[in-house]
Amino acid sequence: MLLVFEPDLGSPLADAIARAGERRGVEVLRWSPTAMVESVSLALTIDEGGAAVSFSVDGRPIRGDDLDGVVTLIDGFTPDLWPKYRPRDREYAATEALASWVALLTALPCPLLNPPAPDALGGAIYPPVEVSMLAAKVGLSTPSILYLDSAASFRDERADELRGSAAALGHLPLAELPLAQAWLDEARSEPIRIRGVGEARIRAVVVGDRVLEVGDVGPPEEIKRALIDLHRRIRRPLGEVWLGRGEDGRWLLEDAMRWPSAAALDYLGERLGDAIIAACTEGRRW
Amino acid sequence: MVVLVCGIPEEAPVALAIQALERRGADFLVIDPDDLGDRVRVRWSWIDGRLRGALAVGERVLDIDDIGGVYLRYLGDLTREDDSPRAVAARGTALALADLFDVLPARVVNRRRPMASNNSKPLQSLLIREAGFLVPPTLVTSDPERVRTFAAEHPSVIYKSASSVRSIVAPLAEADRARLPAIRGLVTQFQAEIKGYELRVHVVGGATFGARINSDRTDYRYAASQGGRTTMHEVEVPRPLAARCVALARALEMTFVGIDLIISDAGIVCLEVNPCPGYSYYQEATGSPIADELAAFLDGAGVEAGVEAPADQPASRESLPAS
Repeated sequence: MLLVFEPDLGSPLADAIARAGERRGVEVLRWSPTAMVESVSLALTIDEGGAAVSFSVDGRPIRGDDLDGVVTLIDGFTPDLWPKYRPRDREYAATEALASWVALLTALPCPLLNPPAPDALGGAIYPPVEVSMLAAKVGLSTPSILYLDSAASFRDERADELRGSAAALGHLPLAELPLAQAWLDEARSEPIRIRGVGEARIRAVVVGDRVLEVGDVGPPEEIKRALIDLHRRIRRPLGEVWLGRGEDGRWLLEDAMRWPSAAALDYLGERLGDAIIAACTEGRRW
Repeated sequence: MVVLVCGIPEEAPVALAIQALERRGADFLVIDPDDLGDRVRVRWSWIDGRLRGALAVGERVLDIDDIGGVYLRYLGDLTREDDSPRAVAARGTALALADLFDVLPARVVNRRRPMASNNSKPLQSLLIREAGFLVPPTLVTSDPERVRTFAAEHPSVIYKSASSVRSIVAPLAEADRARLPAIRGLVTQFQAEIKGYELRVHVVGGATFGARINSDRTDYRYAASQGGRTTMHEVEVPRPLAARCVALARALEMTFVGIDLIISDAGIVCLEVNPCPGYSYYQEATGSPIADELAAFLDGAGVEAGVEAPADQPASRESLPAS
């Protein structure tokens, strides 16, 4: 049995997983945040003997051990799920529900795509530079990143600095310098990522130990292995990556997202649902 | 090397850390959240696998390679809705600093991601249990019947928030049981109440400081406001327990924590690990030199967290008085 948490019932990726489950004889339960709050009764116990999870939905009991895997396509709960509470209590309810479900999912013995982080059910969210540092450890190059404070009075200095950075970057061209220039004109607080240029971007979806190419061209095997290794390190066995090529031919990991995009699902079709079911039923934990 | 202290200078834990850094003659800078919009500037980059950058606080300008330690207590409320140029600038600077401290090769006390484990207390219980401590029997549920069964199995049950939102720990009284159907819409955390005395252990790198707490209320922090009384005194943490506490902090990827323990007849039970401890409350009551150790650690000295806790040895009550 597979459990899928989706933002609203009927989301395309959950549909694909459900169809794959039908083909493979795996029951797929689909719960939205509304159902998780209104229809699901749950219990997590932690004691000397370990941790145990159980659910009950519409009177049907489900033990944590009954689950082959969980796919989480949501991050948490919105306060409006508790309309009868006072506004301040709604915020508290959403925070408490997230904290509880994070622990509950972590205690499950089955594969989790993705394992929850303390502040996000769908998997850890990293600042770009942290992904870059972890990527470097598995041999992947990433675009350069600039962090500049955003006080308006420093704009002129920044202009000089960006010009200086462009020179210092040498072989790595500032493909998105216009973006940086725009930032100079309207104070931004986001880090600036300097992307590589050259060949068109390539997309791929990582599902456990598989890399599915989204398009006719895919990365070479050593890059695929590095991507799998990276996703293991960031504890996100399900995700989509965008790759580019630097002018020197290096592969650059430009972005790593937690869930496959609609475009990836459109291209991969039933293969994506099949890969997700396979990653769960193979029983491996990441 | 330079130590950065990020927080409100007048707040007691920050003030004590500043005084301790002054006593040891450390080179340090205070980053006050109020100054982030104008007096603090930061710019840094990750280029070809290398961190480079500079930080300016007032007139002082540092290369980020010269930052040896960071006490990350508070960088301001990043969620506050304020679109004034100064507030926007402050948020930008705070975010740039926060991202930098996540990856800076320095003694950062503590980094953001490990601190987040406290956002889910039952998650932290799972991690504490994995690290070899007993935890209180815990039930997180939206099923009133499960609570009634749990309450029948334990002499006394308390309830408290599952998230990091501060709540007053309260016993599940008879009057509360009539309200149990209300949890159907909101999953709630219950725990068996552990009888014994409370021991707060602060870990700083590889050093530990113990404070024994006696209180006549369930939540000793609120005893005074509830007409009760709390007293505490310094105790030496027995070596096996100290090693276990240091190992727990390390397992949670933190170097400065406040660990809440209960010394019960059944053993040592860990309630919680505080990732940003308000240690001043305990230092002022016990006289333990926690701030001095914190200052030493940030300044590159102090006790390293290199003590391995024996994996097969449970947390021992040896040398601790009985409850």
